[in-house]
Formats: sequence, C-alpha cells, structure tokens
Amino acid sequence: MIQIRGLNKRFQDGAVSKPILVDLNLTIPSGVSTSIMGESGSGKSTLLHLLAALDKVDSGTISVNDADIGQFTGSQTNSYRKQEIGIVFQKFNLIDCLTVWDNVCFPAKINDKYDATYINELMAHLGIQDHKNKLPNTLSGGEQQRVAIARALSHKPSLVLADEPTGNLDDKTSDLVSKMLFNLCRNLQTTLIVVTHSSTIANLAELSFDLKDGRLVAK
Amino acid sequence: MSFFLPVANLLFTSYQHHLLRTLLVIAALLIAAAGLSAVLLLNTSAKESYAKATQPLLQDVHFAIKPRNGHKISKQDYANLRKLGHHYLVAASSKKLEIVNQQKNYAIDVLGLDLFAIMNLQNGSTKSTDQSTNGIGFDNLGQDWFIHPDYLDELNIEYTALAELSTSKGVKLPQLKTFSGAGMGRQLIADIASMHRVFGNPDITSILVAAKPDSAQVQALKLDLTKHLKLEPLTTGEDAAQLTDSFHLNLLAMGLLMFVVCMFVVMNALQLLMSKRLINFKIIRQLGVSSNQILACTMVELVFLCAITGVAGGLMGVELASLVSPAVNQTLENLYGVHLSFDRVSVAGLLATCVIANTLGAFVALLVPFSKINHQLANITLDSSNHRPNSISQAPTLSRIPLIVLLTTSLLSLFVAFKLPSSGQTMDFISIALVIFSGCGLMLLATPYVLLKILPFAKKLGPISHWAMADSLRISSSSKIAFCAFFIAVAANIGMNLMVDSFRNATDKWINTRLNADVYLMSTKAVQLQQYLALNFPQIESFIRQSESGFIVENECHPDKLCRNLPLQIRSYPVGERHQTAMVFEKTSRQVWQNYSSGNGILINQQYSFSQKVEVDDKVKIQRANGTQSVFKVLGIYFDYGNPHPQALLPPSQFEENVKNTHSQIISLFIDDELPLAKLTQKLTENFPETNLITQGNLVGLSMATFDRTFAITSALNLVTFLVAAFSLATSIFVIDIDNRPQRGLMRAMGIGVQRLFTVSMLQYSGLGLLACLIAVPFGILLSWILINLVNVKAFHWSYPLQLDITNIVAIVLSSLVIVLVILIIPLIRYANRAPMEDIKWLQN
Repeated sequence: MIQIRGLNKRFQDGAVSKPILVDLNLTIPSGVSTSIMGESGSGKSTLLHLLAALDKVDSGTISVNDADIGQFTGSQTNSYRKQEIGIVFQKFNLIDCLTVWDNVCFPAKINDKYDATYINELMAHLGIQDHKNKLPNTLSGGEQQRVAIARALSHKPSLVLADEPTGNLDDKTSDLVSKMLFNLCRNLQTTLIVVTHSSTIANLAELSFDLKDGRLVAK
Repeated sequence: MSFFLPVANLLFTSYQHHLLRTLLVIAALLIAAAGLSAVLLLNTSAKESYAKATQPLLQDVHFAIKPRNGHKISKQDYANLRKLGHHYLVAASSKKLEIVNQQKNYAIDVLGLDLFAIMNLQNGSTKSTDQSTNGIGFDNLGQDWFIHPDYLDELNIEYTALAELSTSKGVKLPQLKTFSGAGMGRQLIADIASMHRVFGNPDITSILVAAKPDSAQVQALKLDLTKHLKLEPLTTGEDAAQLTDSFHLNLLAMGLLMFVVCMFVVMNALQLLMSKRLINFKIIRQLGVSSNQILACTMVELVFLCAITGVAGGLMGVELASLVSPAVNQTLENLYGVHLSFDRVSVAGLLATCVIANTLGAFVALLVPFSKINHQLANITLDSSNHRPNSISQAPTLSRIPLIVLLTTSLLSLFVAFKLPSSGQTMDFISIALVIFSGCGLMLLATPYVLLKILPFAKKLGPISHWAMADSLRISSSSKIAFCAFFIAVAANIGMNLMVDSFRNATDKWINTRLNADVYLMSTKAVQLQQYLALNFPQIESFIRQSESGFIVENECHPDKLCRNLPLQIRSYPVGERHQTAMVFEKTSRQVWQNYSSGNGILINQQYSFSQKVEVDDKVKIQRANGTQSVFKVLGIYFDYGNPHPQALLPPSQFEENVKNTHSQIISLFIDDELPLAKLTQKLTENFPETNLITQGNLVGLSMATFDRTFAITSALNLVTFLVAAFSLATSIFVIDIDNRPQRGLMRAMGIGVQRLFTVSMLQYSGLGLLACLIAVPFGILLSWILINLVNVKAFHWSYPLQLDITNIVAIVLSSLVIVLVILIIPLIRYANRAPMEDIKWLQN
C-alpha cells in the first residue's frame, strides 16, 4: 500500500519559491492501477519522482509498504529503486548499447530475480519476442515502449511508475501499449501509477485523480 | 553567395547553445598555436643567438693558417701572402682582457681583425662602393672598438660608461661603440692595428681564409706557405653548429609532435561540435543548402577562429617561451655558451606562421568529422535510425583495407628511408608519421574487436559488467580521436624515453669504458709534462693523445665517391692491453689489435663509417697533416658519441713516424693507488700552472651532466605533449560524460549507486587507456628503433644498441593510466555531487 500524508514540495524559480505540491494526501492499495492527470507544470512528474525516491520531499511522508521512503539512507534508497520500482519513461530511455533482451533482463539480473521463462512470456505478451537480439534504436517508438514496459516488469516490482508512457506514440499505438501495460500490471498484481494527459489512458485505471494547484482531486 | 550570411549566422549563433564544445575547439586551437609559437620562438632564437654568438664577422671561413709549434705569424708573413695574390686572407688576433667598470671586473675576449681587408673583400664580392652595404658598416673603422648591445646588456654596463673603460692593468680602451650587425658575438671587435696600438704589438694568432677555396686554390696556398706556417681546416665552429643541430632537431620534432597531438584535439572537439550541429545541418539541407555550401561556411568559420586563436595563442606562446627561457638559457649557456635572446625574432612573422599552421591544421582536422557528417547529411530525414547497426556485433569498426594500405605504405616508406640515404630527413619524418598513424589505425581496429571478444565474458560476470563493457564499446567509438591523441603521446613517450635511455646507457657505458685512465691532463706542454712525470713520478703510467687534422681523400670501396678535402680528425691511440679493453667497437676485423699494433690498418669511428659508407676491411686513402697521402685498411669501427666528425685512430708509433709537429694536448694517467692525488695536483700546479687536471670520475660526471642538460628540454616537451594529449582525452571524456548523463540517470533510477557507477566509469576508461597503451608499447619500441637506427644515423652518423627497459615502459604505461584516472576524477566528482533528479530531468528532456 502507498500512503502519502501532508506532502509539500516547492521549487525555486529564480528568487521566487513556487509551491508544486501542497498538503497532498493519497492512499493507493496494493495491486491497484491509478492515473494522475493534470496540466503541464501541475506537479505530476514531481509526484512520480518523489514516489521513485529520485527527489526529496520538503515536508510530509510517503510510505510504500509501511516504509517511509523519506527516511531511507542512500543505500536503502538504491535498494528501494532497484527492487521495488519499475519506471516507464515517456522517451523510453533504453540502454542503446545493449540488445532488447539484455535491456529487459537488466533489472532482473541486478536483483538476482532473473527468470528467463517469465521474461520470455512477458516479451511474448508484449509482442516483442522477435526483436530480442536487436539494438533498441532499430525499433519503432511503439516497440521501444513495449521493451521499456517489459524492462519495468522483468524484476517483478511491487510498484510501476509510468511517466507519460504514450506521450511519444501515435493514438493507435498508444492505445495498444497502454492496454498492454494495464493488463500486465493487473495480471501480475502490481501497483501501477500512471501520469498522463490522456483521458483514454486515465479511464483504464481503477483510481483516477486530477492534480490542480498542487492538490489531488478524485475524478 | 546568398546562402553565406544565413548559414554563417546559424553557425555563430550556435555557439551559445554549444558553448562547451565551441570553447573546446577554441582552447585546442589556442594550445596548438601557443605550443607551436613557443617552440618556434625558442628554436629560432636559439639558432639566431647561437649564430650571433659564434659566427665570425666573415662567412665561409673553413680554413686558417696557423704557426707550427714554437713559431709565430709575423706581419711580414701576412703581407707576403697577400702580395702573392691571396686577397681573401684576413689577419686575426685574439686576446683575453679583464676590464673594470664601477669596481667590477669582467673577463672579455677581444678579437682583432684586419677590418680594412674585410671591407675590401666584401666590397669586391658585392661590387659596391657604398660602405653601408659592406655587411659591417662601421664608421671610424680604424679607431673605435665595437660591442653588440645585447652583450652590453648582458654585462650590465651602462652606455655612458663606454668611453671610460679600462683594463684591470690600467690600460684605457678606445671608444666603444654599440653595433648590432650580424656576426657580432660575445666579444669586442677591433681593427687589428688599433689592437696592436693599445696592447703593443701582440701576435697575429691566425690568418683566416675568408673564402671557400677549391682544392686547386688550397694546394696553391699550401705551396705559398713558408715552412713555419700550416693550413688547417677550421672545425671548431662546425662542431658546435652540428651539435646544435641535435638541439634543434629535438625541439622541432617534439614541437611538431605536440602540434599534431593538438590537431587531434581540434579534430576531436570539431567532431563533437559537428555532431551537435547535425540536426541543424539537416534542417538547412532540407531548406536547399548544399553540403558543399555548409562546408564552405564551416571553413570560413574556422579561418575566423584560427585567425583569433592563432594570434592570441601565438602571443601566449611568446609569454610561455619567456617563462621557460631561463631553463633553456641554462642549457644553451652550459652547452654552447649562448645567451638566448628573442630580439631578433619577428613576432609578426611568428604570429602569421601560427595563424597559417592553425588554419591548415584545422582544415585537415575538419576532414574527418565533416566527411562523417557529410555521409549522414546524405539522408536528410531527421530520423537517423536507418544508419544504426542492428546488433552489437555490427558496431562500426575501422575497415581493414585502409589499415592494410597504411601499414604497407609505412613499411615501404621505412624501406625507402633506410635504403636511400639521400631521401633526407623529410622522408624519415614521413615514415615516422606513417608508423604512428598505422598504430592509430590498428588501435581503432583492435579496440572494438577486443571489446566484442571480452563482451561474452563480461556478460557472465553480471548485468552491470555487461552494460559497462557494451557501453565501453560505445565510448570507444565516440572517443576514438581522443584516444588516438593519447596513443600518439604514449607511443612517442615510450619511443623518446627508450631512445634517450638507450643513448644515456650507451654513453654512460662507453664513457666509463673509454675513460679508463685515473686522471686526464690538458696541457699545451704535453711532452715536457710527460718527461717531468716520468722523472718525478715513475709509478705513473702516462700516455699522450696526439692529434692532427687531415682529410679523407678517397674511399677505395666507393671510387665513384670522391671525398677530397673532407676534414678528418686523426688521433693516436695506444696499443696496450688496458687501452684495448677501453675501446668500444661496433664492428672489428679478425685480429684487430694484432694488425693495428703492426701498423697494418686504422680504426675509424661510426661517423666516418656511416657518412662514407665504409665498412671493416675496406681501404681508404687519407691525407695526413704533413701532406702525405696513404691508403689504410679499416680494422675496426668504434663508437664515438657526441663527435660530429669522422675520426681515424692510428697507433702512436706510426703517428710519431709520420708527424713531427703535432699538438699533444691530452695526457691520460694511470696512477698507483698509493699515490695521493693531492700531491700530484700540487706539484703540477707549481710546475705547470697552465695544466688542467680532471679525474676520471669528474670527467664522467661532467659528460653525463652535459648529456642530461641536452635532453632536459626534450623531457620537458615530452611531458608537455603528454599533457596536451591528456587535455584531449579530458575534453573528450568531459563531453562524453554529458552524453552519458541519460544512461547514468537511467542506471541511478534503477537503483545503481553513484559509487558503483564511479567504479564502472573508472574501469571503462582505464581499460580503454590500457588497451591504447598496450598497442602503443610495440609502436613506441619501433619508434625508438627508427629514431636510433634511421634518424640518428642520418643526422649525427652514429647509432647505439636499443635497450628495452621494461621498468621504464611499465612506468610510462602506469603514469599514463594515472593521468587518465586523474582526468576522470573531475567529471565523476561533478557527477557524484549531482542530485539524481538532475539526471532524470536530463533524461526526460
């Protein structure tokens, strides 16, 4: 379960300190998919980064499976990112010097959770099993994002964070990829938090929120 | 030309967006210009200062008439020779003076010359009656004395004091005038008549032959000489002139090497800049600008940058040269007694050279990145994925064919350079450059090959090592030019170090073997001294080393090659057992000492052998100082480092038989251990005050110190070249680090800690550095072998065995790797201090 309590985050914009997230509270049960929508600059990505422990809160707490990630030491933060989280980026961010297979296996291997059968199934489910030995740059955008999804799930994380996962894809591909992402997370009982502009994608989630003026509003 | 302004505007406005890469190009051009300017300035100044300090007022003085032992040259002798039609003769007289100024004493040489004879001679040769064009241009010729203003500054004597100078014995000197004409060295120049007036008729020390006579003229002059006079070739000036050649060659070679390395930096920086501009280039290509137009604008941009950086870098080089001039000065003063002065070098010419060299270098450096960009511009769609390889095994590697062509060409050029001695130093430099570039090519080909071979093993070690190895492959591709510069620096370092070390060891061993006597005496009364020693110190064994000047007449092995009047040093060399042990031969015939003792042949030095292509058992005809010509068989070829002249050794018995009047100056003494050296020194000081005594240890120490000073500048330039290569690598790593941020951000997002990434980066770059070093080792060894057996032989006519000092090679490799790691620390510390969010934001953008 993810519990966010009294979360505040400000950003320095020149001489002005600008609030991004204001007294934010949120509870997401385990295995549930959640979408967060909002205008550009509303703080969606910031929230996602805070959940990934890539950034620090100004005040408030974020608990993931009863552990306050704000209190983590450096090595605990690394372990948390490594074991508990899978991230899907808008621009795919695949490792361009490794093959598709090596990219997908990478998190599983660094977590000692490498399971070739599972990864093969995952790739088959995503329709990228024929691209295993290719380099990521030779794939289309949709294929690359599917590789990114496979990579985010290869080590069976408890939480998948997706930041505009279909922002770089056309409508048809976007629809296909987002459905794959939601279905896989549902089948694997993985908590999914998706930040998106698209109401079509948001509708696929079990919980949906709007981020306005730094506060979350349930849809 | 309508395209020019918009494209140029695009190029110049792109600076603010790619500031770092632009600054790298500028910094590289600045360093190249500064290095080139400093080396050129030092080299030219050293040459000019040397010429100024040693060049006599007259050009082409190759012979001098000197008195035989116990005789003098009279004014009548001089007048008679001139009356016989030898108008090119100029009387010279030299004297050491101690002058007093403001209670300070200065030791100064005065050179008295028959200035009227010089003036007539030069007027005759220029067919001019205008006194100002005679090359001397002195007014009041017979009365005033002259001094160069630089020398005056050096002595720290005020101009106002020039009229009041006197010797320490109270003799007032004539009015001194400053004159900065060519040939004014570190001495006072006076008309010989004026000098005679002041010092009361001193001797004429020599009569200079101020023309380059042919052999008939030499013979005619010899016939006209009275018995107490002899004609000798002048070799002293040439000795030093040729010695300075090694200095200039060293400096120039290292300067050129540094410039080439700098051009690699420029190439690297240009490639990085071009890759960032690629997207804009594609857009303007879509808008109808051709790639040739883009190239033209880029070249104009480079000319602009080179003009600014050439001038600024050139001025920086002048400052740099001024900073290092005390060290260079010390070397030059110690070696050649020359004081370095920048006054004679044209700064405008120097800056123009820097601008031109920078521009040409930058154009060459532009070829590689632009041909790459041009290839990519062929496809002007903004999606460049078509050009991506499908798998890692298809990663771009250097084609084998150009490498094979390069290797073959370098081998051919080496063959030509070795087999055709007339090919000259340019061919040697071209061969060396080709060998170095072949090494670069091999490294570029080998690096991805080796990494691909290691990749499966790295995969077995774990995902991070697998990623690190695959990433190294990517880094090796984007940093290949920087690693080429690194490779050149390491190979050159190994090559130069091995060469200098081999030379040092060979010289050290040679000096210690050759100088086997306990004490050496330098005296003009050698015969008397030897008699005194025999009488008073019977336990001392003494040998006089006799010397004379001769000529190589003909080498019978090469009858087509006539060597008439080629000066030859002829020395006596004893035949005793200890002297046999002291001789270090390169080659000998059978029973060399037996034949030598019996007078059946001579020993020659490597300089003679290499310059005349004479081998053991060949026969040569040489002319002795007394005019006799004899044919000798060559029995052995010995090492004679540092001597620029051909030399032949004869047994003393034969020497004395043929030559009655020789200058015996050096006596070697073998002393019984029980005889205190202090006692001998004291006795010699009392009885032969003009004698200089030096022990074997001191002489060896002095020789090796001179050696070290000669190569101190080489070592310093070697280090500078290395630092420039390190800068090249640093720029590359710095920019690659920026390009690596998304990858590292991703790794951090996946939970891999900074320390681990830090370690991975260190291993990646040191691994690539190690690979470059490993390939540089054989090429460095090859380079030193070429330097010893090709460049040295052609430039100085000597060679020595190449000694492979593994410790030295390992030390260079390790220090190179340490430099790589030190360079890495800065971007990695920057990276470690960066919050992961910054990289993630970078990743998102």
